[in-house]
Amino acid sequence: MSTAVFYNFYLFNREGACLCYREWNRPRPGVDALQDQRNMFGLLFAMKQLCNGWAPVEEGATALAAEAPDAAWDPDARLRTARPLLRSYTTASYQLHYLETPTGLRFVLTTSVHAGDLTRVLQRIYREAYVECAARNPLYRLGTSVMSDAFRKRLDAIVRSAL
Amino acid sequence: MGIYALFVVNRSGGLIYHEKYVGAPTMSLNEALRMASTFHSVQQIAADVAPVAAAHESGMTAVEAAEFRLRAYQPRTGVQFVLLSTLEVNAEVLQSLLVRLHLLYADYALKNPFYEKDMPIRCKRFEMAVARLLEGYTGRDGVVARPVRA
Repeated sequence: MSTAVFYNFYLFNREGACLCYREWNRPRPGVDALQDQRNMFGLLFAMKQLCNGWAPVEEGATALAAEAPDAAWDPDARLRTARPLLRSYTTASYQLHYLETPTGLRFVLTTSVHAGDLTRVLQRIYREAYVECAARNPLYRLGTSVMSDAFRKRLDAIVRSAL
Repeated sequence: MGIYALFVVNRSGGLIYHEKYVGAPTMSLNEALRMASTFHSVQQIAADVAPVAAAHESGMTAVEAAEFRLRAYQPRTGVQFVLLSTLEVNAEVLQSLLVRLHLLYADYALKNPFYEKDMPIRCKRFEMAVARLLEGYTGRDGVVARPVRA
């Protein structure tokens, strides 16, 4: 845990707009920041669908189609009922930690591998940084990018304390 | 419940072997094929958005989710072995099973003179060996469905 390196942080809203991007350490710089954010959101979107398709079913439980009777004629029904299951994934070079709130905010943190479970850190970012410095800020309009210095300072502090 | 699904994906994202055990979600063959190729492309993007460069970046090797964990093993030939299990199965156990699956694949599929590379695996011996390997790790009833032939 103490040897983990934090690379970068993304915050997306449910429409896929990147509200905040913060980079601490990125040895391999992205070519195009916007494209990078789009790729990341697309990746997480696809992973959410995959995780819902892969999730185990309890013995005796009925199939998803039975739970959502409109799934047969409404192709979007599955998208709307998809649960946020993904916690983290690991590749050869990095680990990505993911937290999705019921309001559709997606907190993404990438670290070096073997950083363990950082769900708590993401929850702290949501609770102590986002809620305190963005949601409670009277000048902040929901869905716009979070640019306040206070948010950034909180974010840095939380990540530093997690090291 | 233990391990509930195994799939083998070839280097171009095609599903070549698929086995379900107790607890596996019901999905049609088309759906299984689609998910295998989606996973393949997701891995490509995961390598693209990597903040660090790796000597051999092959995409995801592990996924942790709220209800299950996934372990993928990709040897240099590009074929990919994927196991899905519930959270009580130890991650190291999954990792070692994947390596042994690769050995079984080499022994019973690749050495089979009638097996064509990158094509669906239809080898009786391979099926039996996989069933023997995973026997103790799947749900109590073992195989519930006949293996779905890709």
